[in-house]
Amino acid sequence: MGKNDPKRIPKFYHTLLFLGVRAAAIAFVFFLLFMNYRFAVDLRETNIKNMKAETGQRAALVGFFFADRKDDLINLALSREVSVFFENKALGMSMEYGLGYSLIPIRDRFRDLVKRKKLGSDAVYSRIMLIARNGEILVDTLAATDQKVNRRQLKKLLVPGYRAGEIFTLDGGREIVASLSYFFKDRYAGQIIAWIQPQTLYKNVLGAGGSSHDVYNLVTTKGKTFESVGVTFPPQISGLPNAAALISDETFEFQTLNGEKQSWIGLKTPVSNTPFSMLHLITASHAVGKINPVSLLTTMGLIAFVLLSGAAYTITLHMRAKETIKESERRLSEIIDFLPDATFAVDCEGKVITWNRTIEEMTGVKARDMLGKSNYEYSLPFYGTRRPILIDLVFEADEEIAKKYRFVERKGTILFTEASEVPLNNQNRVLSGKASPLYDNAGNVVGAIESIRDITERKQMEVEKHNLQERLQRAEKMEALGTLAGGVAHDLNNVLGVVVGYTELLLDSAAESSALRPGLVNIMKGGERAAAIVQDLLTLARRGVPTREVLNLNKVIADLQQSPEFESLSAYHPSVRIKTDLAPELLNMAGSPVHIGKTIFNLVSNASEAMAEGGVVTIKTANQYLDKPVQGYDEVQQGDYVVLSVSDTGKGISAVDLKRIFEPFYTKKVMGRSGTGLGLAVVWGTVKDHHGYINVESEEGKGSIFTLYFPVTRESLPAETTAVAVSQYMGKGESILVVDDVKEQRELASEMLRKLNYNVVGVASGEEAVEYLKEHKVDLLVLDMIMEPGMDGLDTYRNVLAIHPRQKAIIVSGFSETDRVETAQDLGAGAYVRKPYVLEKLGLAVRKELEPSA
Amino acid sequence: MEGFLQKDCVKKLVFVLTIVVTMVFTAGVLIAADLKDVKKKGVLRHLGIPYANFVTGAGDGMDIELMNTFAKYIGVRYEYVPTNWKDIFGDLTGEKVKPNGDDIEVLAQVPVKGDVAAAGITVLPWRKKVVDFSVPVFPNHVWLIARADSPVQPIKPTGNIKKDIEAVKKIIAGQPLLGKAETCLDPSLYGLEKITDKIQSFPGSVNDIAPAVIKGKANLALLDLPDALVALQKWPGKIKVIGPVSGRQYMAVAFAKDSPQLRDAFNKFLRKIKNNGAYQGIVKKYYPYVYVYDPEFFKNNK
Repeated sequence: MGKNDPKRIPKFYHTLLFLGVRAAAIAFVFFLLFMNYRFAVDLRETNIKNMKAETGQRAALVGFFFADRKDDLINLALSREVSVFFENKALGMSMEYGLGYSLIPIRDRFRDLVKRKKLGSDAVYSRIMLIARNGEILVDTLAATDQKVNRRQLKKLLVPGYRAGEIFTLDGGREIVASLSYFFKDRYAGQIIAWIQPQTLYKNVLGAGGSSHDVYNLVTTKGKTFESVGVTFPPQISGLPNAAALISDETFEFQTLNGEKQSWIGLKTPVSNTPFSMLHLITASHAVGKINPVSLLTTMGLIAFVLLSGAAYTITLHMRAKETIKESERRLSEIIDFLPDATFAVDCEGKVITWNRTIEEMTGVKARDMLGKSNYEYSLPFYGTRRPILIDLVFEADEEIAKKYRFVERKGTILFTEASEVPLNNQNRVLSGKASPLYDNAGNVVGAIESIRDITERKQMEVEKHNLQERLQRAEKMEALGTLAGGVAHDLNNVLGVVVGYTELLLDSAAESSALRPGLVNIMKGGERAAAIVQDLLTLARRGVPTREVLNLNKVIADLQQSPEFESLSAYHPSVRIKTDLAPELLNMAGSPVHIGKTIFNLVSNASEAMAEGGVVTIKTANQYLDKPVQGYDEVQQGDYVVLSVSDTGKGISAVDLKRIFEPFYTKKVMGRSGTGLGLAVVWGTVKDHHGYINVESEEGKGSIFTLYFPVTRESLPAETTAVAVSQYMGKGESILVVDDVKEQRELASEMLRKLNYNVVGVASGEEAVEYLKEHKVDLLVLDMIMEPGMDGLDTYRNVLAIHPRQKAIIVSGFSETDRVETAQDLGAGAYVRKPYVLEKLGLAVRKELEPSA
Repeated sequence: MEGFLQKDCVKKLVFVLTIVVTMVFTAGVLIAADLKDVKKKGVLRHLGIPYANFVTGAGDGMDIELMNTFAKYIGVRYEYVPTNWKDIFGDLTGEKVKPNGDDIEVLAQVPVKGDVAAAGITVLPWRKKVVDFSVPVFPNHVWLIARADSPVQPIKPTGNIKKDIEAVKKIIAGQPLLGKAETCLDPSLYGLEKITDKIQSFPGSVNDIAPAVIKGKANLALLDLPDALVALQKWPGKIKVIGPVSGRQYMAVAFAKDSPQLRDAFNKFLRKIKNNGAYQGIVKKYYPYVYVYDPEFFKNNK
């Protein structure tokens, strides 16, 4: 859904809706709080109101009760029995004779009232008395033995004013009494007094129907204090407020002082026609609830605040989560969109739900044109036809589909594949694919996703890498073989050095006409050829770095053609015609003419041998500039080159052999020609030593072309040199120390130098040389560079210089110049003389070092 | 059989036997029965006169209940036999007598109609000569009463009964006085005939004496305690008690002199019901106030 999608609700309205809902929720909560508060207040008020009503009703009930008591007394007073007595008394009868008898019915009636008058099962009265005006107890319902009469108190009970009856207390409030003044013929005759059972009153009237939380108490007030009537205050009641300050029918609150403090609500209601009030006490928690409305409001408000805050926070978290999810989805979408791999996803119905930019670029199909499409729409850009592809295999395995790929591997739920020759954008590309199911939170498959990568270049690079690795392996193999060969060559070179050296001495000693001379010459030449072979080996070992001199290929070829070896080759292959096609203005190169000549010879030799039936070997030279690398057998870098090519029309080289032809000893030729099986290996080594490249093209049955690229040098050819007379390099008796670990070489060099009139001492190691020079001085050192074990020539020279800082020396070695040779020369050593020893070269080098100006 | 019964000697014999048998049976009637006889007969005959609450006339009364309970005590049936003050002793003893001061005069032999006589009978000297009384059953006083509006005023008690009686006699002196002969209300029993000659014997029931005074048929009258209490209750403010004319008297159950066992049985019975409270219950039922009025009697006569 894009930003401009018309179905998208504008964020403003979304926010407005959200805020509106929130505000409505908050308002509703506050409304509920307020209503709850009002309800609590109303409930409290209603409870108070009910309490007042109920208390009033009870008080009225108590009033009725007492009114009923008065009525009882009035009825007693109006009774026949009482009137008979007073009638009889009025007649003057005496108690002894008849009047006393009149009291008996009164007593019986009183007793009957005491017995009969009950509330429930509880007697209302405990005692009723009739007291004469003079204080005489006329009737007492109590048995005589129970009568405890305080005469003084009795007199106080005679109150003529209680004509309608009166209720009051005696004994400090412990007794509740109803009293009625009795008048006989309008004359105060006495008092009828009834003691009311307080327990009956409290149980059946005051507290009837009340809960255990209510306390009802009749009270009188005495100043500030309440006095309980009939009973003592319940023990839990204490701390009653100032009685005088209380307003009747208005609630008051107080806290008990005893034990657990409690809040109480009380109500004082007067009992009509009595001196009493009724106290209704109830714990505040039962009266109006444990929490007052304000506290309730505050508490609920806090709770609501916390809940709302929590809800708001939760909603916020939820919205943030949603936003985060949306953001995540957006980012995921962006991530998918920016994945370097072409990625698309489908739902379970095969409808495209994601089509990222990379796949847009790969296929040229925009997301808007693909999203929502089904029916294998996604396969069209790749295969030009609607068909199931890798992503469809996620839902269901299909062998037919799998066969269309190079392979289909499954690792867990992920499918891997490669497809070659995919006609993508009119090009055959190699693509790799990876497909996986998409799951929801419940683990159900809801779709699939596939990512595709164009690996065409990578595949090409893999091929190139493979080739490079092959070349490297070949080079390493040849290096290894070369190293091996080099090691052998070193020893062989020393042997040859002796042979050639002493042969030279013998030739020098032999007369011109000596019959031995031809043989010696041949030995000499043979030795030199052997040395050349050794050089081949050394070259192979890369230790025989050729002497660097400016040369021209055309001249080398010309010289080669004049060489006996070439003549022998031509003679050995009479049916092979060797022709040259040499560039007239061929540029120069730097290197070793010997090795280049050897290389050319080996190539021509191989070419000749490839044409057993005869043919033409063409040697061609040319100047060539490469403006970009050329991939062949080698990768030829760009640059100026002189190119040498040797081609034949022979049997060609198979592709298998082509890869290995430059390996040492990989040859099919008969042993003994180039002899060692190192011909092409030497060619390879020589080309590499000259920083060149080689290419081979061959086709079986048609021939081969070996093309060698040598970097051009802009230097000029050196002038030709002539032989030097011995007198030019004879010594003058100077002392020379020959240091060589090989005894024969050491003795040969020493003999040659003695012959040249030098005083020579020979030592077998650098250490011996250093020890010798600690005690002696010499004019010149002849240092073999490679001495094993122990110090080589460079280390020896350093140590010697420590003793004799200006010690002159020349370096000799059977190997090519090395960095150590150059270092020794930098320290002050003179010429480097290559073994095998040649008298002239050795003599010239020594003479030059001893007399530099000569 | 018919020929035998027709013979004269036989007829005579039958006649004699009939007379003898009749005499035997009637002899039992003529002769007061003692305990054995009562038990043998299986019935206790109670001679009663409607008087106060002793015999209310409605079939109940204190004496009726006592006798009924006594009959059950001795295991016989109870039978009420109404009589009157003139005949009561004759009905009990078989001898009709007439008091003459403290003496009696036997007037005639009469049939015995009852085994016991109980009707609030006051124990008087002359009566003792006629019957044997049980232990006292009820206290009694005889008072002088007057109509409420009579100018005669009640005496002020002195605490001495004799002085009080004298005070009353002074009031009676020369005044018409209503009494009832041959009862405890006979003025001659108290020497009142010596202080006034205007004595009138009430011919009706003792129960009607108080109403007679109220109606003005007599100004002064004698009334015994039980009746006086009843009258005072019935007609409060109509009559007044002036004072005593006698000391304490007793009422008891009368037995024929030849029924000592029966009397002993009754005394024993009375002791028993006094002990078990039944007696008190009967007294309270009919004379509830007498316990308050004369607690001494009941205290001393347990």
